[in-house]
Amino acid sequence: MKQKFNMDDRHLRENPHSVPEGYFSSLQDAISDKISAEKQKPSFWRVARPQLALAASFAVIFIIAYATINLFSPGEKQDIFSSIESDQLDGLYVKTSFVDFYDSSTDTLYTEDEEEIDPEEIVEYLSSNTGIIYIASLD
Amino acid sequence: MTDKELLELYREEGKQSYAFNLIVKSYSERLYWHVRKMVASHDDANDIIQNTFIKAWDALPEFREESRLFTWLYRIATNESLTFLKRKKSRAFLSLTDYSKQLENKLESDPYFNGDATQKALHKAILKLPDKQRAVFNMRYFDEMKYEEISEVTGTSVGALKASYHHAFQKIQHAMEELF
Repeated sequence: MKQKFNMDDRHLRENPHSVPEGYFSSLQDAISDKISAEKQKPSFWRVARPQLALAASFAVIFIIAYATINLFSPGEKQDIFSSIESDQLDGLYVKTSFVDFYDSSTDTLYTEDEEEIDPEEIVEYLSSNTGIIYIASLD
Repeated sequence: MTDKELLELYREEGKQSYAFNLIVKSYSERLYWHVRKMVASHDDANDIIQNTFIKAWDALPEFREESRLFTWLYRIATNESLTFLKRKKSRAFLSLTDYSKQLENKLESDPYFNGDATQKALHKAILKLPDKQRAVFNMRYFDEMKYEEISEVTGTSVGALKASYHHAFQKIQHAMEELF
């Protein structure tokens, strides 16, 4: 019967590798040199940070100025509001507040008969109210 | 000098570089051997160990002593080794030989390997293990670290580590029994 291989043999756990002579002291120097070089080399963040801070401060100033102008100029704000929406809003008001409740069949105020006024009636009206027209023309 | 004393010195004004050099002096050799067993070649181990300490230098200001300095450095070295091997394997994807075979060839031609035939066979068998299992096996078998320490390094539970080590041990023993 084949004997079990002895993995617990201390000889197996010994380090069979070696390194070039003086390697570990040169390794420490190499690491030290690389770290010194890294300390001198500015990182991306270190270079970009002042520039980002400057850009951010400009952005803050712009936002504050824009907000101030908007807050203290109500007229302009109204103009903007009216120019964008006024026509549409007018239409919407008519549609929702009046047209929905307006029954044209019962409305006798603006009939077609009244639009056709007899010219003789106009002449008669004007001749009987010349005094009012005269006073109005004096203004 | 203890880890605590090293870290206290590091946090003193103007003593950072000096304290870090002491940390490198204390741990570079032990970490180098850990990395060397992972990647087989001296040149690769040299690159990895330098990167390990540069990353440690960058990250040390944020080190909050939630783990020990020694296990923290071991973790960086292990991760660097695993990342290196992963990168090499992805590059060797189209190669005719798989990367574990390439590692064996490196060991075979390594001028800085002084072991006998049994040791060479053992290290070749270890290089055939999956990378993470190899890291666990090396930490336990050669560095004789406690499972709790390996758990701090790898972030794996002690139970899972024991199972991983047991499987690796069985595989190596079986491979060695076939040869000797």
